[in-house]
Amino acid sequence: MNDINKLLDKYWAGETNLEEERIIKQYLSQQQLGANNVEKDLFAGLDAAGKIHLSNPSFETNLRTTLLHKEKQNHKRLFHILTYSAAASIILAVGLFNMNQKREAYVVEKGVRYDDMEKAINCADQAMSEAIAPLKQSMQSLQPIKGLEGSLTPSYKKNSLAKKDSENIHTSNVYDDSAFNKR
Amino acid sequence: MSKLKDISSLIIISLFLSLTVQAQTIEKIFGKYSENKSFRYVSISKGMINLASLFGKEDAGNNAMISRVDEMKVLTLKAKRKSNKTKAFFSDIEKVISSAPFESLMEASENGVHTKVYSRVIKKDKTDILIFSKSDTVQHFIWLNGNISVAELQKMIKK
Repeated sequence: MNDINKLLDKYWAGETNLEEERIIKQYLSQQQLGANNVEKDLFAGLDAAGKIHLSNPSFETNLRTTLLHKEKQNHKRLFHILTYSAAASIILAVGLFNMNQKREAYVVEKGVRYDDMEKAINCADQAMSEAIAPLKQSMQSLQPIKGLEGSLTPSYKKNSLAKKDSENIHTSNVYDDSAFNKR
Repeated sequence: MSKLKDISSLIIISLFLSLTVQAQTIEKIFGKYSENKSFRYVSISKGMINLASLFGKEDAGNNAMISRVDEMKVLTLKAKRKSNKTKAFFSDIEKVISSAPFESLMEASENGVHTKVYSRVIKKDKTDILIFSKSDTVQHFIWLNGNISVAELQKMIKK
């Protein structure tokens, strides 16, 4: 009896576990009216509530459908939130990247800054043209040499190679230097 | 194994630091002379580099090269070649070139204008091209930065 009272005290303090509650329930179900009436009624009520079944199957189906629908809607909403967040992040990242890439063209002349793209390009163009002018001329003067590529091979080597080609001899690495030695 | 990791990370850090320091030195030249009243300073960043007009609008090959330029800076000094300003200016440029692994690409003299071109590969698709020219009256220092190959630069000059 003392044990059950301790258990009941523990129950009201909200400290019982399932096993202890099962013991209380079992004890109270065997008890006649008298002491512990409140607890007996409470446990009987809880027991009755646990046995309630939804008698109308269509109601249960509807409830289940509604709950499923709500769950789907929640999923959809979550998906939308995630999609919009991802899109917003991408836009923000691209925006920040573009912001970090300084887009400016300016000229500082005699200590005064001109944010004038055309002027900047003209000045850069002028400087570039003046700077590369000697290179341009030097490279152009080198152009005719391109045509002389073949003539850089010594004539005696040319003759020997031609001869070997005609005889179809596969000793292309060996050159006939006799003509050169005779000289 | 951990020692090897330490050594490799130390090498990477020192390489990174040396590259940063070298990049700063070019920037320092532009920083030093951009506000100087004797100089004209031009800065064009990527996005604004629609510089087709710089090298000939018609040429598609040049446009492809220009699109690879991320940044361009130019310093122009209108002073005599033998003036103190010119000497100090080129002395600073030569210090930068000698302190960093720049390679001499081209050099030419024509009609009293002497031009030198140097390049340095910073990483796989990042190259610094330095062009400077001396003449009796005008001196130029040009810095191009981007994914520029030597072949493309030569092609551009030939045009």
